Amino acid sequence: MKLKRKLFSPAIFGFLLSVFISGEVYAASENEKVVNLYSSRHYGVDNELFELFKKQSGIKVNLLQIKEASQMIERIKSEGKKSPADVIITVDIGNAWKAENADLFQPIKTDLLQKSVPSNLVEENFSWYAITLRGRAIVYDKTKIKENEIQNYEDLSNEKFKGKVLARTSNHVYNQSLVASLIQANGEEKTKIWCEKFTNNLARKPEGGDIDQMKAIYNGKGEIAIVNTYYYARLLKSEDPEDQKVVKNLGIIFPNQANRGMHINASIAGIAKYAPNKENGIKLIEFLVSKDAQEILAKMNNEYPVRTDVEWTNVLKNMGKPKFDTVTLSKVGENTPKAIMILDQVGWR
Amino acid sequence: MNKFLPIFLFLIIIFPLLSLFYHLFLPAQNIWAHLRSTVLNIYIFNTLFLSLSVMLCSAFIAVPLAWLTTKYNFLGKKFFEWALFLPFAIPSYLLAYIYYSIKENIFTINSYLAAIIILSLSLYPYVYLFSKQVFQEISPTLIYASKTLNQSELKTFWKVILPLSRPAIFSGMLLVCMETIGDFGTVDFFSIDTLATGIFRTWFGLGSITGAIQISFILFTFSITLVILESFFRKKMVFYQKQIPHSSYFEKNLNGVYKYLAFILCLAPILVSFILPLIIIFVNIYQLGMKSFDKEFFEIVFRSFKISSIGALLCIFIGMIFSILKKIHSKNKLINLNEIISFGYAIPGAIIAISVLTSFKILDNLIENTTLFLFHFEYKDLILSGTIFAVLYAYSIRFTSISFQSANASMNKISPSIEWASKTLGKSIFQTGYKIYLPLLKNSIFISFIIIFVDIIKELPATMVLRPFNYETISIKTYNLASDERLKEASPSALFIILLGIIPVILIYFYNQKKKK
Repeated sequence: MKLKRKLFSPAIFGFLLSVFISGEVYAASENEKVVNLYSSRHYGVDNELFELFKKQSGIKVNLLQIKEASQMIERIKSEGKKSPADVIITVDIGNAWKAENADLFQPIKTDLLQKSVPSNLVEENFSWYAITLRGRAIVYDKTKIKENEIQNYEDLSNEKFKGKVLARTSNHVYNQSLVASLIQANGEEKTKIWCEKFTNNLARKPEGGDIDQMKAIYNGKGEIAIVNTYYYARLLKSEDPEDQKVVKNLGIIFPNQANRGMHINASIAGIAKYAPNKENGIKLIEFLVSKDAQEILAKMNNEYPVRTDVEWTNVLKNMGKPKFDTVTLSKVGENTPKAIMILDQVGWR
Repeated sequence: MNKFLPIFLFLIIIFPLLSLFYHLFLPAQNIWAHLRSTVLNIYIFNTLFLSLSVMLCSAFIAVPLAWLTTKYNFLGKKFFEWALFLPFAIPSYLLAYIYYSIKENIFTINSYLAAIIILSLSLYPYVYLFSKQVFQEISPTLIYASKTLNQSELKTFWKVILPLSRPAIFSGMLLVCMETIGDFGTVDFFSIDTLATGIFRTWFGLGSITGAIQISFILFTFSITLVILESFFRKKMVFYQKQIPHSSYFEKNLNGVYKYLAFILCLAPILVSFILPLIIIFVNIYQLGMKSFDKEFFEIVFRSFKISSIGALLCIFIGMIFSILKKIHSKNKLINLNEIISFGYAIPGAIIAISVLTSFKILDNLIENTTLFLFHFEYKDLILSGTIFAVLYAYSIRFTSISFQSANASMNKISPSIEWASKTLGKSIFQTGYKIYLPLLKNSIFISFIIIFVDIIKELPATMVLRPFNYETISIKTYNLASDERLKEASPSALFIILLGIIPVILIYFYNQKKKK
């Protein structure tokens, strides 16, 4: 009897475990209109947009968010023809290029999409459409650096800034893409020299994130930093007195305004090659570039809208209206491996 | 049957890892020439330097504290006994983010030193738990013997206790080491280039997944060496426990200065790596308001709790079977192959995720072709890929080594005479396992449960890549916010990672209390 009871409990335990697991696996098979989204964006604002989309269209967004685009691409690749992916969103053009190279998209062309997104922000075969933009700007300590002292990224290699420049590590895709765009603009040779001098100018070994670089300026550890526009905007908008202190003496420079424009990067969206709900997927992308959605993205995440007819938020307007470099954009993905090799060679960690 | 079960289980665990081997034979274009001429030496040096320093540093923190709280009585001892394990609940990248925000404003410190301190502070509980377990099981007669020979307490510790507990302590250190070499978040934040960051740079930046997997085989080799070293140490000393004694009957009271010294020694690590970060998190939440704690938030918390419990039980189940079989068939060479499952822990979660993706693809094809052939039925969807099974599979590959190591450490102390006795009584192997080893291993099961549970709560890359739709966990939520430099907004979910991690710690405390009575 005792033995029986002892054997009984593991059996119950095993049963419960399997019920538990199967409950997890087959929970979400209700009959509703859905679109399956694979996204490497990780911002809270996106979820609010998907709620709004559901309200407007009745289509539920099933989200799978994988922050590293390369990992996301690997997953879609391994799922093959049966992949449930309808829409693929990635951050950074380099990643869009990788996804395109892995043949994950199918071309789409609708009147609404053509009208909404300027043609230089659409992949040439219509594989993907940009949905938001951000720039890689230069911020500086207004008390120590004169406004006109820096105009281009190229100026950051000037020896007079030795020990004054701050940047995060080059493990980060933002820096890799910037260098990839420099390769496109100036060639490998020149970019390597630039990177060498830039690395020599660094005030400290790269550490922390973009906001940490701005804090470091405030703490007197350097005078110039490379940061993304939305981080600067976030500090400007912040109600935290600490953040206000940091941003008070910071000026922002949009580089290369007299020539190719500021290096930008985009979040992009495209329809997956084997999308089971293609129509819903197209509706989602159309929604993301709609006026409503673009305004929300700009307001909540301080990103630049891709639509030209959307009014910028005050914060973005106050920062100034930059000229964007859309020319080197398409080559960023191709150049990234070269950029990494140069970065490794010059020792920008 | 008895011979085939371990081989079968072994193959299941090793199958995805085998799919990685194939990458070893692929050319990785010009990547190796580039790595060798630039960063490879730095990667290897930093990895070795960091993992050895963190290993030693955490042993240095943990072993004396474990001894102190086992054998001495002093102010707050009962509290410290379990509270010293609390820092384990905080993921090291989170500790790094929190301290970085302080460091920026207060002090300047070498980034190597900072990374070593932060990793040691968040990883020492591994060593603490393993040493504590073994200290409790050491027979007091040995200490009495040493006393009779007029040896000082310190000398007894050095000459008697430490050598006896070395295998267990080393097991803990091994886990610390593997955690360190696999860590990405912390070292990346302090921009220390290790093999782990190199793997991702090669994969994401240089775009070579083959190169990345090849680098991870260097990590692999590194941990093989460690595991072999460990078993070598273990073989040199065979020591069986005749009975498992009670620790409480020779706790010594500390008096005077020592009483306070012990108190401060125990409080310091908890203060730095648990209480202070927790205060910062609470302040953040206070400033943020309570709006983040909505229904969806608690769904995520519950989901994390559920998946971690299931995952931990699964790993323990597999680990136990391996270790019992290993004990019973210790002469069988095949069984010793099982040691290989320990290496799963040394492979970064992201790489394990890839191996699971590959093997599930193969399995899915197999299932599809079989059903098509047998029943002429074609599936519309994927059966296994993108389900919770994929996530659980990755967990069992990665974390079984913990339950296996821990069970082995206890198993080695059980005298073979017990098994012989059982055999004499005509009991089968499974009866012996169930009736004799399982009860004797209760302690180690509990400990592995805590460790694996908390590890899964904190786990990021494998969960992120393999999960189904709309499957957010508490650690993914925290990481997404923290890596977007929104530490404040990340605080509510960070708090719940910690709270979930504390639950099993408290459970084990009550379990121990009950046992003492």
